[in-house]
Amino acid sequence: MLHVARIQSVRARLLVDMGDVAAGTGQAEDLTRPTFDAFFEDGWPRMAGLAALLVGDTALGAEIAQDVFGQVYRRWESIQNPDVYVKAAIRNEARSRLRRMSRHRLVPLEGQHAPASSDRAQQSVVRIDVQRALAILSPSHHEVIILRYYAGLSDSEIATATGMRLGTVKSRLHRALTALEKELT
Amino acid sequence: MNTSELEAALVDALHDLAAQAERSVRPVLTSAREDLAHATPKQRPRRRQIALIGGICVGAALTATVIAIVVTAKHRDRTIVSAPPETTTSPSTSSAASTTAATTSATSPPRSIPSPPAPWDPNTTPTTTVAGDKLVVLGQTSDGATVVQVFDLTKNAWTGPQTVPILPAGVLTDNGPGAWTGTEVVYAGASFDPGLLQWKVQSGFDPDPNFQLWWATWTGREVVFLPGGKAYDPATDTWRVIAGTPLDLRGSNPAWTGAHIDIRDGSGTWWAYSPADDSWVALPVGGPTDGAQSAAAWDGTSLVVVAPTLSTYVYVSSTKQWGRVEGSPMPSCDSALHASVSGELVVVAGTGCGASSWVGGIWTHFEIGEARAECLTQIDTTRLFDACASRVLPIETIEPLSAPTDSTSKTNASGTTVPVPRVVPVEPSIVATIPVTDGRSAIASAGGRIWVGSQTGAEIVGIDPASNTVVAHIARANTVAMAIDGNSVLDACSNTDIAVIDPHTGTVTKTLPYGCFSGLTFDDHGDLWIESGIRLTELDASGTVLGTVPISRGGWGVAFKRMRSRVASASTCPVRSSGSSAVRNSFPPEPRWVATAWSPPTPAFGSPPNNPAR
Repeated sequence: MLHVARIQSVRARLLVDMGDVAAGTGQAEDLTRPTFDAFFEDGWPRMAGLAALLVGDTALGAEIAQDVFGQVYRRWESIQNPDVYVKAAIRNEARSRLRRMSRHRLVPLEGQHAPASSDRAQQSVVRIDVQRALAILSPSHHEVIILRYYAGLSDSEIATATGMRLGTVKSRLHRALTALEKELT
Repeated sequence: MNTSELEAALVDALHDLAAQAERSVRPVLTSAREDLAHATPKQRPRRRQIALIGGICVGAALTATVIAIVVTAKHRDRTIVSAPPETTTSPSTSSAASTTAATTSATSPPRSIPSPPAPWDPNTTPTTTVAGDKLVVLGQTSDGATVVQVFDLTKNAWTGPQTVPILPAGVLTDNGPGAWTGTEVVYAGASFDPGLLQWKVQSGFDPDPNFQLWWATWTGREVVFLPGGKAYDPATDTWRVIAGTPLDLRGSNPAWTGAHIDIRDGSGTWWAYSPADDSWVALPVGGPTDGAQSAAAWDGTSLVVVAPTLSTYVYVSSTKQWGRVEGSPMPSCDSALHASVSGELVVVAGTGCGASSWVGGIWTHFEIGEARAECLTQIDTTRLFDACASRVLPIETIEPLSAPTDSTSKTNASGTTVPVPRVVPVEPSIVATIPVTDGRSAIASAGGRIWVGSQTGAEIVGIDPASNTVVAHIARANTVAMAIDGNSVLDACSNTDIAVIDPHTGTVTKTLPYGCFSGLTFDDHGDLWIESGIRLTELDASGTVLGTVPISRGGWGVAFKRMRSRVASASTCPVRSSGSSAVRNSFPPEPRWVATAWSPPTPAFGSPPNNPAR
């Protein structure tokens, strides 16, 4: 159930990012606004990672994060909720870049999956297969898969985050999973 | 692999990918922060030409590449001028007005909404359309039946369910929005009469799966579907394609003004679509540009826009001006917004994905088959009341914002000079498709032309985007990268040298003895950076080498990213997750270089080319 814990962890973090009071953490009030340096130190690698996932390119993800944090830096005093701002801006910038580049493939990053045992080797093979299978998804399917299985957002939260209708989210998730299942069989 | 196994594998795989990405970027965290430290608020304007540099990240085995040239009409660099003061509202009116708003809201608390008679299938989403004082909700029940249930907002009661005839497969696009015309709900593909419980299949509708259905807006004559860009006339049962719809119209919901549909695109630009002229016009700069979706409503004279993270904006059509109300009413509400109008007040509520309506002083929102009253916010141009937080927001004033400098001005009947919004081309559209052969390719914009070259091609061609024709040929083989300097001079790099080209005449004015592997760009200081596969070299305008820095590994598709004031970076294609960055910590006369690199994997990269210049 490791993945459940992972989802819960990331989800809690992102809900705070999204200023979701309903998350019950009470942190969304953000009474202790961080300094920009602290905000940058904590958020930049994480947002670069999310952007990398969305665009399938680590370097481009870093550049997107850099651009977005540059905006935040320049407007730090006037941005009321930088977490919300960054979150939305990362997603929008990723979409914009993909649209401009006319490409969108989550290319498997070069990982070091050292197979210490046959089980681990098998897990690595499956993982790499899944990563490669993700590359066949369309941009819209790719996005909902990441928001669901990386960010751990619910259907309605994905709809909120992306502006999609709930039915669209559901159908896209279903179609994306079907496509992945087909690709992996 | 079953679904649950797949889901578990997805979680693992995505977290691994994200962790790898985080690890990869951490080594440049310091330099990234340093980069921001040097990015002052009054940065030099972005160099537009850089935007078209790149596009060279093409796989090694790429064959028969086709480059679609997209001309974008972004207007980020528009500066703004001060606006006439007449839209300023005195702060002194705010307090009393706010009190009034609070009183108004207090008389209309959220109410309890009964559940629908037939529960919806939780795996599907009913489509809700506001039809006057009723909500027409169409969807599937858990037994698979397609039914309609109608909620009367004035009676606070449901009618139904009533079974709806099943349409032939493919007639109706799934989960799309509908618009109430006064007699029927028009969806994309079919129209539904809730009184007669009858469908009418529309003629000539192409159920294109790529047709994007976000919004359906009734203009009194047509239902306009956006951002798909199609309109249906129920009187003539005909469809038409709207001219040049902007691609991404998810920045706000559309607001029908009586003459235009005002809507925001994903980049923050506001557009007005005129069905009469079948044309899109960009509104002046000044509305919200932050990334989150905003809500828009027409209050009879103004477009009122609520941005969830920043402020409330007002666009006054008569003066073509934006104003801003300090303070956002939405922090405690959901971030997905809808807006509606009630009397003099614009009512905005945080909603999910259903439909919302403001009837009889009650804001009602439907989502996933449930009806519930949501938090609501009442807004007009002088007052804000956040009913979600039960507080009156501090109102400062409506701050008049700006109009673009590239707009023209005119004097109205009262003698006031008002700006006129600039009419801009609709963005973006494909104006040319250029086939190239194997290898990398390069594209840049200079001298009013789009320049395209390729590694295996024999020439660089210049395209006039206005006429969509090739207007220039430059004999130049082995082009792997291009860059434009601050004077719009085009530099085209091969593996052996760099040609400096006057884009206006199409002639090579000089060559520089430095070869590229695949990257070339100018930085903000006008220095030229060359990537040779093994090092970065920086030249000043005179061609003098200012410094070099080894890079850990070049490779196919190495491309420079946009330079910032002090950071140059080279990174590889996504197929190779390695990269390097070079940070110049001081400038001439004593450049000092710090090269950082994150560990590249060990795949067989292409060998860097010989670079005789060094």
